[in-house]
Amino acid sequence: MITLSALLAVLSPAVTGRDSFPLSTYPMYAHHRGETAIFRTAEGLDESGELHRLSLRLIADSDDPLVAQGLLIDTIRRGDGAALCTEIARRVGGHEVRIVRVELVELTLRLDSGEELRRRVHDRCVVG
Amino acid sequence: MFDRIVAFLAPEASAERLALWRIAVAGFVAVYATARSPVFVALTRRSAAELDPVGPWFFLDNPLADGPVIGLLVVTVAGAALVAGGVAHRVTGPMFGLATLGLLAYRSCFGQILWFEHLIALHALVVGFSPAADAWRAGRWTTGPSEPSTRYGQPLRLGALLTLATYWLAGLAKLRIGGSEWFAGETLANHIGFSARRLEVFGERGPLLAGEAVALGPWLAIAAAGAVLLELLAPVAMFGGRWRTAWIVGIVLMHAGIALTMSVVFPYHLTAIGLVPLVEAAPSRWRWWPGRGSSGAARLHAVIS
Repeated sequence: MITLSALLAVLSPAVTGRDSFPLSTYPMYAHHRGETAIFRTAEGLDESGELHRLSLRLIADSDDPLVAQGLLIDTIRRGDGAALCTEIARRVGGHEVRIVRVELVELTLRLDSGEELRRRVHDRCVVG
Repeated sequence: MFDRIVAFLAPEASAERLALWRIAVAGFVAVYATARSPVFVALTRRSAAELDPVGPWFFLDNPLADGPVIGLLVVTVAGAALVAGGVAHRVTGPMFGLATLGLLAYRSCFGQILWFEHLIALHALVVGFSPAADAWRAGRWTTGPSEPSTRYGQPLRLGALLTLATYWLAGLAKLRIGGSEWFAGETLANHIGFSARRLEVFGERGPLLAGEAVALGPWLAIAAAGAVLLELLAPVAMFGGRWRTAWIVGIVLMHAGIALTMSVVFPYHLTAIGLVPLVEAAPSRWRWWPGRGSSGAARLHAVIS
């Protein structure tokens, strides 16, 4: 009875459509994302103004792109970018190039070619 | 009919098989929670605006204080280590199951993105609340094989059914949401492209075989259809024998493919720890190094059946 009840509970999201924890519909990779996608990230600028990609560790203190992506989406949506920008600015000391400014950006890219279609800077902060 | 259903849901198994699963699940949680501890500690810095409570934390209006979050992490890691060693399982088992559920569910309250953690929590609960330390536990590592019993077979069968159910649900979601685009390979190519671009903007190295996979064209459609069919056909693993062997091999290959083309690793699944309850033979009968003369398929089958 326990086995049957637990199994039915785990299968119940197939009927209810409710995605929770640990009962879930497991919708990962089910959606088509379209030809273009919006990515949020943080970039560093050196003294000459050249852009440098920052690592997951510097951006989100994590090694997981899903975690970093979730953090950036939530932070920018809430309008809390300034605090995150300052946090990243504190971490960029370890970057191979001397970064003087950090920007939280939203990039619209073509998925096939990587062409940048739109760039929007949400927040910027000075390092040090 | 009723007897057959009961026999299916609660087959006989040895205490050693259940103990092996206990060690695998608890060992994994101990390593995983320790390795990802920075992510869990970082939860203490999350704000109320980021909170979207799920599962057991449905009642939260504000994030937990720092102490309970760190405490949950410590109890999970310590509980996992004690359960893996089979120490005081009646106390540490339920503690481990509930703490694992609490910790992983709490992380999902700040973004439901790591769906592989659901199965870890489910398995930790089953292991924690089952008599999984009747063999191979602290102070009793070297006893002889026990008599098979439904007491040990039932949790294993539940663990196997939960694993298969999660795959089936994932396949169903792709069918419902992605539909024919999934079978045409378009959605898969789209996800591979998305993962590559995402890593690029994060200044990380792209997936090892992303470009090669997208260039496969129609072959990628076959791989995509195969992946969805593998998930939807998960129940065939319950037929046992070569059905189960073929399904397990297929699923591990699918996760390896995901890792190589999208750099997305489902550690619990890729290491096959989530598949352990599907393996039915007593460990004493396993042949990890089958003798000469057997075919490749027979060797593989001998290892996991």
